[in-house]
Amino acid sequence: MSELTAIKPHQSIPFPIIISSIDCNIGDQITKHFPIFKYRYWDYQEDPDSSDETPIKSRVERIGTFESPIEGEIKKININLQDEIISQETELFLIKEACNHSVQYGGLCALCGKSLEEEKDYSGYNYEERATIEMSHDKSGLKISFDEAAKIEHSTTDRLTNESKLILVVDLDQTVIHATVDPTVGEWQSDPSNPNYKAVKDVEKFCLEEDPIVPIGWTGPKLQSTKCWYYVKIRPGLNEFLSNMNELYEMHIYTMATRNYALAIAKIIDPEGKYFGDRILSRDESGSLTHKNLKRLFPVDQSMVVIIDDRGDVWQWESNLIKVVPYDFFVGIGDINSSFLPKKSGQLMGPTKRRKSIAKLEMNQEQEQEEKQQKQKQKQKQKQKQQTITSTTSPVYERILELGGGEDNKNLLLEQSLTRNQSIEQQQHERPLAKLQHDLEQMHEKSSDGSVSSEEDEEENLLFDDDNELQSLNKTLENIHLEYYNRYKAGEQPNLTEIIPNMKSKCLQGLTILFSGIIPLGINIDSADIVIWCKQFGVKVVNEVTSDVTHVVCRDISDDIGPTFKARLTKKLYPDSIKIVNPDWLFSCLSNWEKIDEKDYLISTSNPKLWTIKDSEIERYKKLMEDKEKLKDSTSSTTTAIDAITDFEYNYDDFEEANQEVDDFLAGLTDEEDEDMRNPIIADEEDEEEEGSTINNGTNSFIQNLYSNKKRKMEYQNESEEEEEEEEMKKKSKTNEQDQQDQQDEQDDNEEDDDDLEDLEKELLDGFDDLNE
Amino acid sequence: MDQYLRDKLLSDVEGTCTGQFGYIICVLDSHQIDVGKGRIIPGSGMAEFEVKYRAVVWKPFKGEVVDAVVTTVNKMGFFADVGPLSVFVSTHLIPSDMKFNPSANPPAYVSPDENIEKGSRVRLKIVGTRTDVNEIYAIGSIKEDYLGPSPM
Repeated sequence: MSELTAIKPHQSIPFPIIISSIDCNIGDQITKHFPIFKYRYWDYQEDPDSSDETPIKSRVERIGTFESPIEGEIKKININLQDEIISQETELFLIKEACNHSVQYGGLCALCGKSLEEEKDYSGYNYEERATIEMSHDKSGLKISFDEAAKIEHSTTDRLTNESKLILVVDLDQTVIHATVDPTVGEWQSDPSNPNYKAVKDVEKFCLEEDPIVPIGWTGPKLQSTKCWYYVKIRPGLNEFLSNMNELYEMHIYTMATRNYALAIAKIIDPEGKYFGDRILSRDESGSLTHKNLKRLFPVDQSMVVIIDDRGDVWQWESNLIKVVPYDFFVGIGDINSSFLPKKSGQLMGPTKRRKSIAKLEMNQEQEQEEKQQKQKQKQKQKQKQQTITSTTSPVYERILELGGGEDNKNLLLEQSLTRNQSIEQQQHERPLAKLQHDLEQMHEKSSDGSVSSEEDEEENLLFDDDNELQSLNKTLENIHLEYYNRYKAGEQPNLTEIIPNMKSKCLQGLTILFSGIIPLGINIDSADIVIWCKQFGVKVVNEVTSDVTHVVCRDISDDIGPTFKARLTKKLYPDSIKIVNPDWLFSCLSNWEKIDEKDYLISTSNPKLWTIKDSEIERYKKLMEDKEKLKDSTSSTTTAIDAITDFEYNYDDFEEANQEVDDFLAGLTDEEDEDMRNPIIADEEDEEEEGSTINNGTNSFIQNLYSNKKRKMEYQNESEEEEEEEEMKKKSKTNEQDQQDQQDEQDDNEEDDDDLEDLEKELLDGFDDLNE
Repeated sequence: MDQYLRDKLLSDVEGTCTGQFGYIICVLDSHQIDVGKGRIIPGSGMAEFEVKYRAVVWKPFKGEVVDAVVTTVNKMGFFADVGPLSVFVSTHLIPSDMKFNPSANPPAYVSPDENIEKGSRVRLKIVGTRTDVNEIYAIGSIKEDYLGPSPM
């Protein structure tokens, strides 16, 4: 409490001012509103004697007094007579206060008990600005000043250093546990004859009573609260992991789930409270609904904090973050508490399942979802056109993002809990697990009817306990701890925000990876999660087949889905130097923090036919690359165009769709072999398009195929329209308005198309069969 | 009718907090509450009744010494309940020989011979209060003689 408080002029003072008299001395005890000094200032005033309608303004001198906004003892005066003060930032006086109100609770100073709310007056001085940081885990309304926070953190740091510990922030969902509300799990648990019984028998369950969501302005009777059963699978090895980590780290929980849920999970994974204690922070206290912020818990010093989470984007890829491979035990469930976060559909999230059949199921499901989404989008489009109300029909999460930041926004909270409840209800209703198991059994029946395949020895269970992420994570965290305290002993002031990125970037240095058929078309590769993750480890990610590439990562291939174009190209051009591996290799590298032997992950097939590639295709690819090189030189001049396009995309109600439509549009062009007039702006996406267009002569990943077929079909339908568009492209005089018009036209066609989509899919499959023969 | 109004009064009023009187702990003579004549509000079908009642109220005052039960302990201090009121005691108003020990389970303030953790009883002095429309905030201190952990 010995710090002095600096008095600065308030913003209502008409600068510049000149001090005309100082009415106090050093050592004086002053009360609030004591006039400290007088000053002269100037104002413009209309001449009252003038008879004109708009009198001439003349400059007049006035005198004002400055009152002290706080009480205390004056320790230092920084101004002299006749000084001119021109800005708010000048420190006029230093005053020693009896209490500087650095801890506040509910508008009260927690040190002297004074009500700071009542102290507010005309001077505009606000004591509450002094304590703005909310540091405790719970939502108690306790706020402290920056200095106070620093003091507290300093004592924490000292204590941890003495115990030679660090801080570990742990996420719950898909990091240490996986939860679902699908009641199928309960049924499987009570039925020992079920093939999944072995896997689910140690699944914990708990029941949460949730308050009903009351719409704003609801005046009716109190709604009944709903009960919901949650099934929680603990990640294998968690107990051991926690007890090991407890030696090295002070652990905190930071989750996007509700507080009740977080407490229930904590009770399961830490029944005695010896690991986490009450260091639990949930969505209710987080302050932000879409992002996690380390500053919420550690406002001043983050140099001793490590985060483990399965999503990097919610942390904005904070440098303390160690992204873990998501724990995906209940196949196809995902994270039940992140339904309001931006969806990640279609992107590569975790390693593929160990067993082919499940991987296949997952893929089918993904496709179904994609189709569903497409349809929904189309429907939404239609609605939008009818109502021309964009904001109410755009997808919920976007609305949330739009509103984002407004922490106390009631609408937002309501919206978000609604989404969550909807998804939970949906899950309870649809029972995705039961459906998958059913599909799986069907698949087995089919395969056993036919040839005796390798699938025979697989058990018929859907759920499989095969995760060993925590072991490698354990090792990594031990290494970080060791590194930190080695540096500390060497006399350095170690900082984990530097150590972690540094350690990471060395792990996989020298690797250059090409993703093929993994990142969905139309997504900028630099913004894909997996790419950011790789880059943090020093991996270079490229988009083209060159001699620099060390690994090509693509999905496993089977008889009906051949390798992608780029994979085939690589095999042909650089059969020895570039290894073609499946994503599992990458994930084991990323979780082990070292380069893993590729031997077990190499992609191979018994059918060499699948690898064939025509020379003409290669030639075309090379030519395309050359074209691109040329275009790159000229891109600098078109950057403004890029800006225009990005701006436009942001305005567009649905980002992905806009992207996709641009793709569709381009595909139309490439198929017509109008390569010369390609727009350099979209150079990044072009090669993907190229892949799409080569499907005509070969096999390619299923989704891409579907996609491009749709495009082709559309092309027939609106050929005339496209010609118009081409002309416009040539002129490069597209205004945004026109563009929107075009896209809208395309949407119309899309809608019609979509109904035919399923038929198309069938056709395509037939086509494949022909090809394979 | 009278019975309904009495029940309504009890459920609406008991256990709430008003800025003027503090907490309304208990309504007295609940069977003999004087329900005045009703008046129908023009323009709607609703009626208005004026009800006079007596109640036990409690309003905390600055300087009052109270016994409390600790509910949460964190590094900035602890919260303690005095009946319906939650009082915050900051580290600055805890005797300096009591240190925060976060590794204890549950976290606690400990001195050589005393211990404050969740569930302990403390005697504290209210050093400041602020009343909102329906909430009261209070700050407490145990940094004075005869204050602090009290034996069970």
